Amino acid sequence: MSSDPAPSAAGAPAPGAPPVAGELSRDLKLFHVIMMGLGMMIGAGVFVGIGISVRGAGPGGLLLTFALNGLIALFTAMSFAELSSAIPRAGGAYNFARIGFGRGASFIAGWTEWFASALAGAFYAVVFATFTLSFLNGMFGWDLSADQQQGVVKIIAVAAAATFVYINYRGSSETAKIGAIFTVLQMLLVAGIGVTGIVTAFVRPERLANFQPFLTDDGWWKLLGTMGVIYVAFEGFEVIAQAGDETVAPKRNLPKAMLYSVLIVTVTYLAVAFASVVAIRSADGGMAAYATATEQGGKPFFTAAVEQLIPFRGVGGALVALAVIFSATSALNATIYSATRASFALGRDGMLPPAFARISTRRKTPYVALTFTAVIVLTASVLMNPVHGAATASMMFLCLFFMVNLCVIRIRLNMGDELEYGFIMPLFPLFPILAIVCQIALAGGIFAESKAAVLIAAIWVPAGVLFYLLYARKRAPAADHEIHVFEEAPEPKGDDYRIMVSVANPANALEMVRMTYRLAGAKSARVQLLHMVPVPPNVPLRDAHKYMLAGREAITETLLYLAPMFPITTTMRYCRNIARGILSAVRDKHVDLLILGWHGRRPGKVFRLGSTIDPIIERCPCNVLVLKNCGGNREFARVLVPIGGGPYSAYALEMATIFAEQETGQVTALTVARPGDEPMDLDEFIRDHADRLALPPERITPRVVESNDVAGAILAEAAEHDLVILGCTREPLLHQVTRASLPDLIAQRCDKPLVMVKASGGIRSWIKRWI
Amino acid sequence: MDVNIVIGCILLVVVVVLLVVLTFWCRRRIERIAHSRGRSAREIEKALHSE
Repeated sequence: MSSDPAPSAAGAPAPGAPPVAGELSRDLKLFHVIMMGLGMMIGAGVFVGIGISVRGAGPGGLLLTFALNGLIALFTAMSFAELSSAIPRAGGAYNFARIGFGRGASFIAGWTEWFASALAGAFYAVVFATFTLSFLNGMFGWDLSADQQQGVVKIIAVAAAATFVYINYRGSSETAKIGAIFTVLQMLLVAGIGVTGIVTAFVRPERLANFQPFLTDDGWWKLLGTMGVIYVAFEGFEVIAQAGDETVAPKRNLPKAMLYSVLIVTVTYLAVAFASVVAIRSADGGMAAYATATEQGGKPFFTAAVEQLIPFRGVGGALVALAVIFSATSALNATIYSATRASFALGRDGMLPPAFARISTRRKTPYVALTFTAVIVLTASVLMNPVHGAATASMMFLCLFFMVNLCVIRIRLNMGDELEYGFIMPLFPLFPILAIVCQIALAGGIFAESKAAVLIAAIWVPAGVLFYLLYARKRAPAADHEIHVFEEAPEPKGDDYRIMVSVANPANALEMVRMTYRLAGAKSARVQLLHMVPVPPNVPLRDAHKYMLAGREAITETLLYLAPMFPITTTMRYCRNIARGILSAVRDKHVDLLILGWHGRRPGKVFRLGSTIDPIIERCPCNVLVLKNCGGNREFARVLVPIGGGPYSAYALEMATIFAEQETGQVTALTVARPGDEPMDLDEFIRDHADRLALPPERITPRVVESNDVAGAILAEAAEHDLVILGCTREPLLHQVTRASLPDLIAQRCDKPLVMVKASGGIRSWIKRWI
Repeated sequence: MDVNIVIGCILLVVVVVLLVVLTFWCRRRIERIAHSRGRSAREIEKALHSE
């Protein structure tokens, strides 16, 4: 295998010319990527797993093991599908972790995925070799000693792995097509066994008695353990995410392929598992005891079952051998593909040496990444115990899936407004949370089965952390989605109340900040000006400083004006998305109150207040004020606070008492009751919150209005006041997109100066901050 | 009849039905999103609810 340097017109690269960049060819269709997922999922796991499940959980537990595992796999597949549709690039989980949690987490994800896939490849190579030798032994009656058999298995395993390394080097299309052929053959064999079992159950219904007792004595708890062990049979759909750079219409085909793969494989497993149970003619003492006795006699339960199902001159045994050989072969192909793409993505982003990102211009394949993957697969094929290797890979895959399920939640919340999705899962975030809970339980099952898996994982993952700290962290370039600090004044230490004023237009910075006079005084606060500069996607971030020059002058002018009045600092950052940039600054600076300006117009039907303000109100971990039409040195003698007992009413009242003119200003606390309804007790509400109000209670006038038109009544009252302060809606996103909330309606229609407030606090806010 | 068989069979049917329903529900959403003008998650949610 050699590199294919891109030649210049003269046949050699011109001195000083930029390197010729290669790219992956986009020629995989839906069928190819489905087959890729199936090929990796229907590996040797199911054939080994049927015996383990019957012994551990009983014949009914066997079916439940595969069905429940399939459902858990589908939950995670939905997360992969959503993320792959939004970020269809090679790298899969590695890319998701990078965008969701940053460079460190993404390196560990890619590093783990690379090793896990390579180990799984070695496992499949050894399984392929073992069953090939068994098949040849059956055909030719060879008489080999145990040592000879072990040696031959190693030779065949290395030869098989090397063959598929070469096939992967030939190119993605060839890889997928050859993989598809093997997958179709294995599917035919496995489906044939399943259909034969179902026919048998119709012809001989007495065989259904084999399902009694349904579970073993250990019952439902043992079922969880077997599910953990057998989950390895459901790994594989994640390989589809690796094909993002090479798939036709990836936003549509990747999610479909993942979901179809899990459904097809689960139905197939259930059919084969059912066939294995009804195949047995006599299982005195129960199916679990029969399976235990069979396997102790040296024959896998699945082989014994199929030999009884198809009792024609060894045809059953030959079919099993062929099915295992085909499945291990296609799984070997898919795992080498997956491991190569994971290391390629690490190299592409500078996390591994740049050579890993080299693509053969002739074959369009990442040949260096493939070479290093081959070294791991071939070495593990020779040295490693395949069972513990598979257990280690399973543990790491579960960790990856756990991270991906967290990623899908975090990315949807943080970047849902800027990514282009081809699929978004229903009932978000129910399914990723269910998957996380289930995966923790399954990881416990695997942990109990293999101490070696824990040891190897405990060596590989810390080695990755060390490599990241010593090498990758310094070299990884900033990604386009990250926030960059352009200029930032040093911030004095202390626990003062922190107010951040986000200035969208530097020319209006002074007007914006004047409203914070009273707030800063009332709270003894330190004020920070923030100016976010959005950089268009087609402009490289290294050229972003050109966008900063105009804003810097206005911010500096404001800073000079305000500095004598109260402590003030400035921050200028550039980003791809302003909302995410502001939220990032709020978190970095531990801000207590964020102030935003709003132009007062609703921008289309999708957003309520705007594409920047809506996400901030929904996700901001601190208090938020949104100012509309509040510029200038205004005095607010009469301030209206509509109070409906909502979560932010008390905070709105507190802000009203701060913004009202302090010597003579009056605050009206208004509640609108429908005719016949008992109105809210405003006196009690004011008394309850008197300790946080900046005005004495006698300057706050409670007022009750009866009306069926709540918005109309509030707007009529607003006409008599100088300022309106409203609590934001706290309805979930789904409600907001289907109908406008009352505060939004009032905010849009009110022509008086208006402030919308949102208070932090509560468990909901804590969970949001944690996520 | 063994209570485990009853619970197990009900669970098995529910799980299989869920698998099929979820898969085709998701597939339908993929097709609808492909034909809608929505791009971001919020736009897609809005578009799906307005249909």
